[in-house]
Amino acid sequence: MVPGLFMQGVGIDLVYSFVIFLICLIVYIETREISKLSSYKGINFFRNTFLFFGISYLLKFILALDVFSRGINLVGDAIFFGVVLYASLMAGIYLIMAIGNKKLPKNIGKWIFLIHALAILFAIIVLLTNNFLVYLIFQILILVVGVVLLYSDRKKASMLIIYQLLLLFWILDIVEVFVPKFFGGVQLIISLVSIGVFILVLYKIIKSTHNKK
Amino acid sequence: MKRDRLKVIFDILKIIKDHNNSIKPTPLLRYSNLSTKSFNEYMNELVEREFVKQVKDNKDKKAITLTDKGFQYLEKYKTIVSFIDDFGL
Repeated sequence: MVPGLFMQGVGIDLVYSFVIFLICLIVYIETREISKLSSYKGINFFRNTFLFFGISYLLKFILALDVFSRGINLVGDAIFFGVVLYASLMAGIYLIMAIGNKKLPKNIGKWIFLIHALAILFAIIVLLTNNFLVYLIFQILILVVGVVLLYSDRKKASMLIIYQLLLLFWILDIVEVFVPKFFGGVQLIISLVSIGVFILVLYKIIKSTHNKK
Repeated sequence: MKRDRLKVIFDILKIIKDHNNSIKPTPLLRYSNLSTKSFNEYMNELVEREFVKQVKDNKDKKAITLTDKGFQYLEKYKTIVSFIDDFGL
């Protein structure tokens, strides 16, 4: 690829990652009060979704910044990459747990550490075996579970499209991490739509948390 | 219809507030429409989460009052419920 165009792509990644990281940070802060007051599992899982999305995008931002400033990928060592995989995986898992929270066992809180441990283990295995396909299959499995949960509950109808798009972009983002410039020229459109989805979620959250009924 | 946990907490706190923010445990149990066992569990949770505190009233009898956090919960209850509904949680 022409270096100029490559750097342009990295520039898009930089802005994209930073914007989504900021949105996730605002979502996390905005939902703090209702989460603390209610101690409601669904809200806590929902909040953690954006915490881990935020971590994942912050790391991607640092990675893009490194490539942008040095022209080479020095930060992208195994540990760094592993944390991106783990954070991204946990974001998807927390979203599924938020959507399906009423169907989860009441003592799920006690098992969260196990889910984190499995996600770390999974990220390490993917890294060691360099098997991107396993990760992708696992993500698609999570997407399918999410879609089934969404369609099994009519109350979630208003968020149906948004949750599905969040999960879809979650997968596309990781494809881009594994195979940089995989989507070529379409990447800009994917990034813009993805930002649009996150902004829509943020708008709905602000509207909901500042609603004076 | 069975009340969910958030609604039960709201109802208990609302009863306390409606009694000039001071009520004895026995009438609170009666107004809350809960079994003694459930009531005690909720009260322990509310004290632990610092939504209410136990004080002595004018006659040196045990009374329950709301804390700032308790008032905050009452204020935010509708927002919490609408958030759960809006996001299908």
